[in-house]
Amino acid sequence: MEAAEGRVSANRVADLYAMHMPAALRLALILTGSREDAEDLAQEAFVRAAGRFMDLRTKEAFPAYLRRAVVNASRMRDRRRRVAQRHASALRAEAGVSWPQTGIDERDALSRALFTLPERQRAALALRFYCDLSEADTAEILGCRRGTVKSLISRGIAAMRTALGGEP
Amino acid sequence: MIEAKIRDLLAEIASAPIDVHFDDVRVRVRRRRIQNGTLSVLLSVSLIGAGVAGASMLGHSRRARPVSSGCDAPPTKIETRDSLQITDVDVAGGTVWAIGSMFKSPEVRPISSPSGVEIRRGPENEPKNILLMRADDGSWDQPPAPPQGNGTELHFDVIAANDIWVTGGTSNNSANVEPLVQHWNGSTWTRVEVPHGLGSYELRAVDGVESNDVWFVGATFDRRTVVMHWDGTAIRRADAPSPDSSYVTLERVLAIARDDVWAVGWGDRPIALHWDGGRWSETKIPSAQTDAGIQAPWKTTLEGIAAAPNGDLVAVGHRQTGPRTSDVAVMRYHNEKWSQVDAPTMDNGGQALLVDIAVTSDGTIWIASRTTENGIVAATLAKSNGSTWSIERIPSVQMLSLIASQGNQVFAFGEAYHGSPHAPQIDTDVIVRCGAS
Repeated sequence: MEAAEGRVSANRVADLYAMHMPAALRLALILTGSREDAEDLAQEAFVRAAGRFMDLRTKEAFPAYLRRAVVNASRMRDRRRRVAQRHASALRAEAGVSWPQTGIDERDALSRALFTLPERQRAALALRFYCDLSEADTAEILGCRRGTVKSLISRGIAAMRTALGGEP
Repeated sequence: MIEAKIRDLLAEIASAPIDVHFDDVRVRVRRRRIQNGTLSVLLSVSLIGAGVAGASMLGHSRRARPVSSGCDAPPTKIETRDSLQITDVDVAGGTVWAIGSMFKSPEVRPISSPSGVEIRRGPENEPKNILLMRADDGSWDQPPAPPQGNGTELHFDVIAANDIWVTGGTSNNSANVEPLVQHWNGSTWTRVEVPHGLGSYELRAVDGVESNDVWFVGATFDRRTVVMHWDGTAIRRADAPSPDSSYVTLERVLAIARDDVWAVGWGDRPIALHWDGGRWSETKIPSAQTDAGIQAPWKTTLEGIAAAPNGDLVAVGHRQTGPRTSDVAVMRYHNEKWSQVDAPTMDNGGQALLVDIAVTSDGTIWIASRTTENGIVAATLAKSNGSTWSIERIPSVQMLSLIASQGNQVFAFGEAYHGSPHAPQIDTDVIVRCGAS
């Protein structure tokens, strides 16, 4: 039973970090609605993904693997946790998001709706509409079938629409 | 239109200024080895206690390593080619069980698409995504795991070694997302049909009194509580109160007897439902009044429940202490009344993180979570003898999120990574054992 430690070169990891951490952080922002949580989550995901880097058959897979790790980390963290408390005001204050002067109410309502969605619906929306992943890729990351992704997204959209008072 | 607005919103949220630093990162890579032509990884538990920095507890070590006074890390040996996260833990018949999901390394090839890559799913019979583990004299063995439920969060109840229920994952037989429930009868795993017609829903916890009396709880996607019951022949929906709230979920169920079952969760108030053998009713939790001044909703939650040897119950959750801060809340059910009791101060940096509760046979209450002290994050076990809390910090373990008692011991499960936030080392699932042996 042989086992030992190996090391990925620090430079290599630093490169990975510099290249991919910003995207991971941005996805985490959408998933958590809180900068502090997003940093935590992206960090956690990066550590997890970097540790698996050597095992990836194709090194180009790293961004996809990291994205998956971010979503998985967020799913684990959201367990038994108040997803819903991350709402618009906290988000604006923390993330330093600049909001347009007009349509604040609508933005607020949408944002509030986003962060009260069940976590899987929010992740599905983020992967499809922010990361521009296909339904198949989204399904892979969420560990479900394409039909489930469709359902998650249509329900997510329906909830957002309701938040805007039934806009088409 | 709405889709464009959602895109705009997501882009806007993601456009917040970010600042990425990178200092001295050290990543410990699990050593791969070749066995029978298969690449496998020895998942090591890396627990660094005082004076053993850098030491790695590898799978073949048979000696428990002390991690702090009164606690150690029993040797664990989990061989997997993938990364594992434990999502539930149970004790049955004096044996500790855990269930987790493994994350597959997806096979990916670059293509020219907005996402830049295409992820290819491996053959359906590729490595199992679920790992069931049973503590066996200082190491873990792996009974057959449920075959379905890719990469999803799993919860389970071991009624006996030949009577195990697993919930988690989803199926989409219909237009709705519905939970996947699987049962082990000692020789095979069988998927068990769940009720339809509730829209999309999930079952987040399961606990059984005996083989023909098993309860499941969760929530619908439109935020009503869900309680279901297995009577030996089918899983049927039970009629249970669903407090009117903007967000309701049941998180845990504790089946003590046929006429004594508890489900806890939260909405805009902490929720505790009780089954008396005839019906489910909501019991009053007094804590809501103590949240005065905190903007509703999202005040106090209940996220874990355990029975004490004297018949009392204890439940743990979070109490919002400000717009962005929270601390642990503890409730006790005594003489048919819930009351809020003194909770340990777990300054967890203002974040509502995972928390769990267990009671050992000597009546000691244990809470697993994490604390932040001078910016240093550490997994923390708080221990109460009924009047005072003492806090045990587990160095170099980030967070303990699950805890189960076995006699006078508790087993806490969580994750560790080392180094500063900007100089992380690889995390692993860790198991910490505390208490008198």
